Amino acid sequence: MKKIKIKDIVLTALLTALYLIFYTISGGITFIIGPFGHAISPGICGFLSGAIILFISRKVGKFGQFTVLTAIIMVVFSLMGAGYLPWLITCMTTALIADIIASRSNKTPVIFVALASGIMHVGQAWGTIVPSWFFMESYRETWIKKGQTPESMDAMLKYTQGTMGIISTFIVFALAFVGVWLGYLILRKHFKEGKYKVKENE
Amino acid sequence: MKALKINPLVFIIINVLAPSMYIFIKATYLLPFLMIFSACVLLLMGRFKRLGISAVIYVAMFGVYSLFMKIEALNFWGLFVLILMQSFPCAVLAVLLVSKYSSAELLSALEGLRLPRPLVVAATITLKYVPTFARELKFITESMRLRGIKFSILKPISSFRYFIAPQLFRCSALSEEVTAAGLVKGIDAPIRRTSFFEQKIRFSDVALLAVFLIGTLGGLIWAK
Repeated sequence: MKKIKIKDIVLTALLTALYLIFYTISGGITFIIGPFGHAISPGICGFLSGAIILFISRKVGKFGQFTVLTAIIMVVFSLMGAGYLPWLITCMTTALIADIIASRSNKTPVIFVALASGIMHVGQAWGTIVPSWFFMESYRETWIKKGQTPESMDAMLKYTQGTMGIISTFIVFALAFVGVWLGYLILRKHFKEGKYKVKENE
Repeated sequence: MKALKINPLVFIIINVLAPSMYIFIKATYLLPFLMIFSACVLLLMGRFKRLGISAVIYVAMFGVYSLFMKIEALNFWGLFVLILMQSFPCAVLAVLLVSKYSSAELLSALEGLRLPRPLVVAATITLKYVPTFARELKFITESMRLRGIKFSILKPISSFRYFIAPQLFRCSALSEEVTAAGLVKGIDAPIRRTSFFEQKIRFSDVALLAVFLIGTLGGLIWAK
């Protein structure tokens, strides 16, 4: 297995910055959609950033690429004052699974990359969904303590609990999966022609 | 009065700790405390313009939040504004961290947290690249204008391609330059890195952290 090098980390870091821009855009879209949008916001982000995930897979293509991406996101969010422990755990776990699925080479079939992206973004969604499944009361109380009204908290939890939580998970997965295919549609021309032709990484 | 120079590690510690405090302390206490605290930091550092801008943004957010909470149908959207408001004091410090300190200073401060070196390097690069995104986008739109290419809602996929493909390849080209610069500076050397900007923790840094801790501790006592 090829070891991730400093140049790969630098590229991943720059692409993470781009990913964070899409994260912010998806936050804006979520705001418009409302409570359901909040539950599926990682899916919206995954849909928009599918091209970035595919690009990382093609240009880095080494084990650890998605874990590094997620770890950078976590560090940046923590520094920005937006860290949240359950979110960190679910994100890092699914990023590792994504690496196992699609980080063997830079010629991984698109379907595996799409699968990895889907799982990775489900991990992000589970940061909200899992606490609402298992620690619903304390999760609700935490946010009410933060100043949220019980009514709006209930409206949000409606889309993350029970069957709706499972449906939200599937939607997040599907959006992120489709996002990689969209990225493939956009980038395939660039990868097959000209100086950016994909070469087997050394 | 001479503007105070604060060790970036202080901001990092505060930003990591502050959000978790909302679990233990009521927002009605913690949010005003953090707002006053970050305002004082800006004052001490002589960032008066930034303080004014931050105050205007916060007042505007508070206005929107109050409006949303008065209209029942918009209550949920109040949650988003509330999240933004609660993140605002930390965001003020984070923006200060990114804009006031150089990459070398940030790197030096982050290494103080004893995180893995690649992660520290990567986080510093990410933090420094995000603010340059607008400039990069301006270059891309300018190039597109010269070639007669336009963003259009009627062609969403093409427009998205025009937006993202140049950004991705720009990142790729930039990564070569950044890596080369980093390697020259011994970024991959397996020894402890020293820095020209390495700052010792001074009295002012300890005092600032103490005020933060006493303030949050006060909140814990008040909550009981």
